[in-house]
Amino acid sequence: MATVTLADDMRPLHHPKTFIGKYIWSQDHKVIAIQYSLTAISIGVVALVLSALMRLQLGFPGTFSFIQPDHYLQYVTMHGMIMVVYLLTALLLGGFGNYLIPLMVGARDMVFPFVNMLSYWVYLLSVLVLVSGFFVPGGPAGSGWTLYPPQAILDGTPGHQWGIITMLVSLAIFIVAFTMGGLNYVTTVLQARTKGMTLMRMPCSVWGIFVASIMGLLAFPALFVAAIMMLLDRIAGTSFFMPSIVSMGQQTGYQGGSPILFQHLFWFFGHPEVYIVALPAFGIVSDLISVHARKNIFGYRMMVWAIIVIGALSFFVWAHHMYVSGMNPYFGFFFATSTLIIAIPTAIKVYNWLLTLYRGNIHLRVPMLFAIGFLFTFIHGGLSGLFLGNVSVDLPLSDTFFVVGHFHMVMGVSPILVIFGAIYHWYPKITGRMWNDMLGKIHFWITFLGVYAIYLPMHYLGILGVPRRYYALGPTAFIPPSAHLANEGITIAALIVFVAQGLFFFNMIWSFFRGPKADPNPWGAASLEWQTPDTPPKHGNWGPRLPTVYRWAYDYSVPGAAQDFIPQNVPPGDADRHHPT
Amino acid sequence: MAAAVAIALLVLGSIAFHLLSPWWRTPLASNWGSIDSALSITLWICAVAFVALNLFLAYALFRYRYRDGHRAHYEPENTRLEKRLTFWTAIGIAGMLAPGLLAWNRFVNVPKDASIVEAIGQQWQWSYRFPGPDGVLGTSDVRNITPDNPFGLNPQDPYGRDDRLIEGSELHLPLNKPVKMLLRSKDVLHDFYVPEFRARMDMVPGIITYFWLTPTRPGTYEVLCAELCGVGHYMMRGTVIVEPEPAFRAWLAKQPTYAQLAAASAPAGTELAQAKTTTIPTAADQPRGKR
Amino acid sequence: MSLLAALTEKPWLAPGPAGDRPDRSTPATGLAVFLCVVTMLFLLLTMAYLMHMSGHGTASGETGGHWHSMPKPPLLWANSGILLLSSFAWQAARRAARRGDAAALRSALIVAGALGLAFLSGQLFVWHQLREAGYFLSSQPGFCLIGLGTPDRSFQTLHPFLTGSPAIAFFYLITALHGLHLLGGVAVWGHATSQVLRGGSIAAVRQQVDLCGLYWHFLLLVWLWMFGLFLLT
Repeated sequence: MATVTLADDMRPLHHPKTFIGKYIWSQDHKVIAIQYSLTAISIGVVALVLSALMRLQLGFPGTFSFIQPDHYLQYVTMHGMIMVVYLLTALLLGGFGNYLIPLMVGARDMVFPFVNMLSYWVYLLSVLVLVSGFFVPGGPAGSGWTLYPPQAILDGTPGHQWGIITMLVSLAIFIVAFTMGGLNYVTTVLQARTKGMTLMRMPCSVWGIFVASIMGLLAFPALFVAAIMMLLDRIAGTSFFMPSIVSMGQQTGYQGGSPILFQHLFWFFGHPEVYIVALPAFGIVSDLISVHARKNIFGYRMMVWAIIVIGALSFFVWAHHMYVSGMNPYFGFFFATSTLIIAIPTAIKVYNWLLTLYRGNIHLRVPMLFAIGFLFTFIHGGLSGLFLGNVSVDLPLSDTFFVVGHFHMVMGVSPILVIFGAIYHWYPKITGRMWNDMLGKIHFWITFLGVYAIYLPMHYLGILGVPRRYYALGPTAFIPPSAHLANEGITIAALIVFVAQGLFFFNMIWSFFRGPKADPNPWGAASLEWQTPDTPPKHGNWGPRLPTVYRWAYDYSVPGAAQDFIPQNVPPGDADRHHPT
Repeated sequence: MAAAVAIALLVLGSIAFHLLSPWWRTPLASNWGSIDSALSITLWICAVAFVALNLFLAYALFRYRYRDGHRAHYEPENTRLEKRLTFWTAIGIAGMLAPGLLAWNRFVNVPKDASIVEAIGQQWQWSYRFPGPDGVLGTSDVRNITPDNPFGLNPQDPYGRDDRLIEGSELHLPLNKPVKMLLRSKDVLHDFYVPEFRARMDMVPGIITYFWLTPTRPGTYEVLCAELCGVGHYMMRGTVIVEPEPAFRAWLAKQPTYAQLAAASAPAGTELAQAKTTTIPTAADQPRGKR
Repeated sequence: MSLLAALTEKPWLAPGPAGDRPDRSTPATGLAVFLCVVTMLFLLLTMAYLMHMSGHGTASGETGGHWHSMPKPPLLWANSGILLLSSFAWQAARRAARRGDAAALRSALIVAGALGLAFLSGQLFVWHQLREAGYFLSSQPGFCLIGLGTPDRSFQTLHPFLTGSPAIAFFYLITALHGLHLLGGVAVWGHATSQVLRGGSIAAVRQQVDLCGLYWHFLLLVWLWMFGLFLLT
């Protein structure tokens, strides 16, 4: 039997010597991951500031006169697009995907390191093009992150001159970057797993990122097509999405196009996109929970299958975003059914997370606290989705604050809590240092309680009928004065949460320079990334010999074992005298 | 420990919030009680799930917190339990979906005796059109729109001449009579939303969309645009007044017809010269009339 | 082990060594994944094309009135033939590389590249022919803003790329995207051919030629599919 392993199929890694080679034009997946993460978090902070401005306007309308109606719509649009695409997708796949996959499967690096490096620089370019929207005449696009035509490119919508162009071009560039990255993540998982690492021995984090990458590769082309066609409608006068219309009293030359065609293309991308954000979060939180509860993830096979089924089904539910779009109403029957069916594997994942905690040995460390925060808010957000998926119930709720509350809960709260938990969890591995526990706990409690205080009331305002994307509600008979108080309260909570993030940034930066040296495996985790010979892992990750894997990633509290965890690369022997077979 | 208590308190707090919240549905003013019922059923099932799952979470956090000498139980999976949970979840999902689809079925099947009202959206105001005594709306096209013909009606269509045109953003509807709202847009996407009616639909330029309702409660209601349509989106408001039929008829009789509007504006020759013959057929949606 | 078996095994049982090597080489797998993405792109373009043609989302007949089937200049047929021939050349190149026949590989690559470039120039010429015949990208005289100063409501003519029908607009879009993908293949061809011409070893380029050839065949299939779509509508 040859001693050569799977991952030796790769060309020898290129070892850079200079600072520039090691940290700027780096082909090391770990450096690329940090580059992605820092860029994504930076642009995410910009979007966070925009949301603070939005909340100032909504909570105290008329007080901040520098926020005009067109600015407000531009904040709304840029906030949404940045958060969904440039922060969450880039951070979870480009950041966590890049860092974790090779380490968790036992590879030295991604299979196409040069393309991987290129993907980061193209991503950075897309961010720069997007930001240029703030500086072009007319400002950035103000059509909502959904960019619906005809309004997005017509007079009356802010940014219809240049902002929409920079937005669409930026998205096209991002999609090229994502394709290069996605190719790496998928091919590395398929080809570069080390000896003994079968698919079912991979941790849930890898499964979540892997399936999300496949989905992204298949879904982003829809956005690409929609973006190019809208760009042509804007700059070349084609009518892909533009019917005969009058704009501001003037006849336009467009004819024959279909705005609903855009919506189909956009949501065919857009729905899988939210699962592209959610699935890595699901995978990662499974690992956070099992490590800190010292218990294998309950029902691992079902968890893997649920990720695959959710990923596949997510391509068949897109028109639940279009129930009131004016599309053929009979489609509503199909999409309501498929949408509610997708709730079933999602619910199973929730049960299995809870059953992992049940009869566990739970250490309430900061990563575990964030995982718990995820569970609570995701249960809420997932359940509120059932209202919107059920077609007739969606009728009065569409385009109200109920939708805003729901999607923030499932996209803006739960995955963000997982991201925080994951950063705290892997920080000692990435930096070799430990963060301050008290600051971490304070950060958690303010953030968790704060975001719930922000988004819970929004659902009720939505049921009342308060519409979204409104600059100001003004005197509206069915909206009682208490609703305006609610908006004030939400704004105050939002500002508190916003400021509290300073604790996180301070903790992370300060600990990087002054934190105590961390144990190489402070949590006693079994998965492979914690078993590297060096912490932080050096270029090439594993030293002269790649690891061999003998067991799954969840041998925690195995009866009879000396310790309450057995790393994946420990051969069978005394460690598992009583291991069930 | 604190986490367990926090979760339990959050559950109780959420229930309290729900019971004490002054923000809930507006009083229903249409026949769409089935939508409200479907929402209530969904709410109950979700509430049970929310409370059960989170209290279980709180319990597990408390009972299985780390203590010296304590060890976690080793159990990779329990397929029987997972199958049972899947089954009961599917039952719950079906329980929510069924009333929702039943209500939707009523929504897509417009009653035969529904009268027609057309609502037209534009940046940033509403206008309306009723068919005249002939019961048929005249054909229209965006390319017919001029300052003298803001509704874009086809001047050569005889059915359009008696149509009542309302430009003031105030719509009246007769009480207890089913009405099919035909929706049209001159420029961008809009959405005709009256929260008390529950039913609504986007207006899409290039096609005619619809929804139907029976107003069941007299009163004055606000119309809000519910699909982002530019900087004036938040100001695109209208009013709907639901009143008994005699009052409604009296109001309708006072509204100008297209014939009156056409006579009052530019000479007939200019209008005909500008008219387009390809039109959006509205007759297909109408219950009677020759087209 | 079948994929299904691999995904249903119970990984907590019997710790020990396991796992087999993957069947396909890594670059081949990467190409397979990439081909899925490109397939998706052209599939979606097809769906958009068909939906637009059927007047989807427009009042019945509004698009029907504007859907003029596009003209098919004879050059388009010739181009398709050229692409087909270039695929044959690529196949010959792949076989030559596998056999280790340097001379055959050199000539096959040169022919394949020449035909590929001929196809691309042919496509640009078809665009030129269409513009000469009055078939432009957009349906609005004087709209095009490419190369203009202020893109606002005063439409100024500068670039005669205008007055078309939806079918023509799709034609330009689809041929442009197909051409760009083909250019990617030409880039790899250039890299491999320069190595071969400089006397490099066959083994070094074998995989590049093999995979690039496959990619080329794939793009031929995409072209035939799209061409068929234009012909039938």
